Amino acid sequence: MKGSAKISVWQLFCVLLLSRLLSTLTFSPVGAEKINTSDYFPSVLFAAILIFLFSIPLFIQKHFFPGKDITDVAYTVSPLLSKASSISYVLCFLFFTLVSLARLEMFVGTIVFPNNDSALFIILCVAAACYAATLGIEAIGRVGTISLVLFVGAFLFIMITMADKVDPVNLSPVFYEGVKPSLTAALDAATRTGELAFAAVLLPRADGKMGKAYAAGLFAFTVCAELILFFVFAGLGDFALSQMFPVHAVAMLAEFSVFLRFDVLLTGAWILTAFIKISLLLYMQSELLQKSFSRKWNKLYVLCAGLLVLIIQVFFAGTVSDYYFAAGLSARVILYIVFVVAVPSVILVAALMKRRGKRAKNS
Amino acid sequence: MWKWLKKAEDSITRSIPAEEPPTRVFAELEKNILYFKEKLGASFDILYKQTYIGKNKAFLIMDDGMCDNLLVTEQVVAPIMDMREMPEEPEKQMAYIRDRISSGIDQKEDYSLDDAITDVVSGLVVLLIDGATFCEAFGVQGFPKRAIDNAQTEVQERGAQEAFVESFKDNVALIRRRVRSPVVRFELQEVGATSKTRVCVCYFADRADSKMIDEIKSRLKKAKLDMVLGTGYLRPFLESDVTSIFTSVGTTERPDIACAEMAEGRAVILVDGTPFAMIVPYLFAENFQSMDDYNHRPYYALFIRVLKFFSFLISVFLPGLYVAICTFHQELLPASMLYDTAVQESITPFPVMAEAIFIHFLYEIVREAGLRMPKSVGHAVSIVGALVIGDTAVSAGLIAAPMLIVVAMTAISSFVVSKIYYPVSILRFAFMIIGGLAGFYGIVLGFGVVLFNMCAVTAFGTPYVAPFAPMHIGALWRDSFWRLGWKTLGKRELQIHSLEK
Repeated sequence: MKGSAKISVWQLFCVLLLSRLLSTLTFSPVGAEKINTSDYFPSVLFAAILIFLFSIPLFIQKHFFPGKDITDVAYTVSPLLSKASSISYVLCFLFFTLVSLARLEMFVGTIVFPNNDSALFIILCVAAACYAATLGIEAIGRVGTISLVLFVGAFLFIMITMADKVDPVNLSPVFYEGVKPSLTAALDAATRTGELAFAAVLLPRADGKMGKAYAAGLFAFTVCAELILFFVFAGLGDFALSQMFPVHAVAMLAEFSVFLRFDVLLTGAWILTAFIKISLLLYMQSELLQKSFSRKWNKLYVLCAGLLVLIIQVFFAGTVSDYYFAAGLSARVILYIVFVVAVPSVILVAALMKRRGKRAKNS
Repeated sequence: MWKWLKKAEDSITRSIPAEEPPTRVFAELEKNILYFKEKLGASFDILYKQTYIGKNKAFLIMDDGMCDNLLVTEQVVAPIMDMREMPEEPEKQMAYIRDRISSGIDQKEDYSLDDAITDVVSGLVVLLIDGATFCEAFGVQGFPKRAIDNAQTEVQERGAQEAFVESFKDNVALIRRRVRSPVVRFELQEVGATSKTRVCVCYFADRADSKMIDEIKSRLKKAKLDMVLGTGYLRPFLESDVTSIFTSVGTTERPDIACAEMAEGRAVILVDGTPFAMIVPYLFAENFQSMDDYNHRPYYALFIRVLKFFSFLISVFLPGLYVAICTFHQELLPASMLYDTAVQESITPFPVMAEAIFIHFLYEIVREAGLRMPKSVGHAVSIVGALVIGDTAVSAGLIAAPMLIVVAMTAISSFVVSKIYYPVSILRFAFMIIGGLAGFYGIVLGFGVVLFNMCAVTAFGTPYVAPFAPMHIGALWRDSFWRLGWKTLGKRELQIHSLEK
């Protein structure tokens, strides 16, 4: 593992964008709050604004503590706080790994292999992700860049081949039931996955100015999400709301000449993106464990995290993810607020106060 | 387990002996001759010619097969014998001879007997004079060698046809002839405890990163090897730390490619006795480029490169995808194609995965046989292979016809990307197995793993998958799949180390 390796902020935001797009692909209206299809479009804009607001601690971290991740900042307050924050982030990332893996299992189990036992696929994925995580952040960054290009290419191809199936008549009027449904969907979209927490840990690994890359990432997310939702709802109409994976359902409409199944491209992009996200999460867990304990056992940490995820997912299949999704929006928002906003804010405020106190003492 | 294997290996090998401190040339001639005979044994090709230079006893020692006898007579023996007014003191006498004979750049003074022995077996004539504490070596090599021939493995349509040969100096001359500039550097090193193989690091002094050149030289120096008989011996010492199926050290047999690589700031490594040069750092994208791309118009270069890339994808993934589709995802085939394929596959006795592995394995056997056999027999092997596999196996119902089409397409595609034939053929088998076990899901995961593996490789600071990741728009625009025309491309030169992370 290349502990001291660095990537550019553009690569970092490519990987984070890919991770967020995965959550858009796995968007499932089944079990979520029922809202009109068109209300999802403004919700993406609102979600972007919310993400920007939730990013404020990240900007503070980058500005006041350049070259330090959130656990390093916590170390300036107290080594114990650093360890506690590291372990809590490890648990948080472990949870996100389980959620990502559960979603992948659900997708593979229902779409790719409806009649097979999914344990083999989970084992393969975790084994591959463990190997990828041991290769370090440089490899993850580079694969993220290439995969983003493949992802966008696959999606554009599907959009082109199904353009004739898209009909704006399928869309319902915007804000028909007021702004509230859109705001609820926005909160759901913004808190579905914790890229800002990933960034708080990965920032010191990224070289370059964050502002432009961040803005480009947020803009790309908004455009991509709007496009994906437009094709889903203009292609399927209200039928999309009854689909477990509406993005895949709409991709099945794509056809060109005698070739009818271009959804396979989307399936490929989906599996690859999930694999990269799981690798990234395992890598971050290993990095944090190295900071808390010994740097010597980096590969062992990846292996342990992978095994733990595997055991939970294989033996308690669905349980963890089920309660995460069944717990509803409020539980997800709380988890998100705690790790993306509350914990970093508390640590940053404490670190800034300590720094000010030290300066006052010195002067 | 590892310890046991190591022990088993140790029982049949011995460690390479550490280099002994050099023995200085003795003042007594007899002692020197004894040392030579002790080290060289009773080899019949070593000639010891005793003579007198003035009043001093002297010996000329040479390797008969390695020297040009005419040169020895004309450039060494005759001038020495014709010398008049020679000083009497042995060392002054040696200096006098040295100053009056010029037999090429190899002429040198040796103060160590071990160096003198190396010179003798390298084709130099060594002169020892009784009482002198150093000897003189004259470069009069004349060993048998192959003439410069056409390239065999990198055939070009419009490029130069010359290829490197085994002779080290000829290869240097082939490069020098193409770039008549003082910026070209050829730095010599010796590798191999026993073989003492000469290795030359070639680069453009104004373009190559000096840190990279130092690192290459240092790694070659640290290479603990007994014999170096080919470029493959040294490749592992120059590759990235990450174990990868693809190599970050390129190989070429063409001097024009070597020059083009050096012009981009890379280093080319020539190994004595090998008609192939190594290129470092070598990027993945270069596997799809050839010298012809630069001799054709840019649009054709783009077409050829895209063609090669698709050939690469076909040769790696097509059999695996076929297995995955036939085993798990039949719905992906158009209806008419599905019907034909199902009919064909239903009459074969093996599962699709076993059939694919078997037929590809058979193909590799035929290919290997055709490659190693004499050309006349090679054709016979091809005919037998084509008849047995292509016709009889299908008509006997052992193999389905679509599978045969897949094999044929894969084989032809893999020849298009011949530079990476070996990793591609291994990956093909891996994807067939994973496609048969985990279908499309497994293939995507496998693709991800290969992608990660390639992306983790960094060769002397340059990412293996550059300029695609990290993405360098300038390099992508200049010369990747697309290349600019010479009017633009020729104005500035690419510097490979600028692609560093």
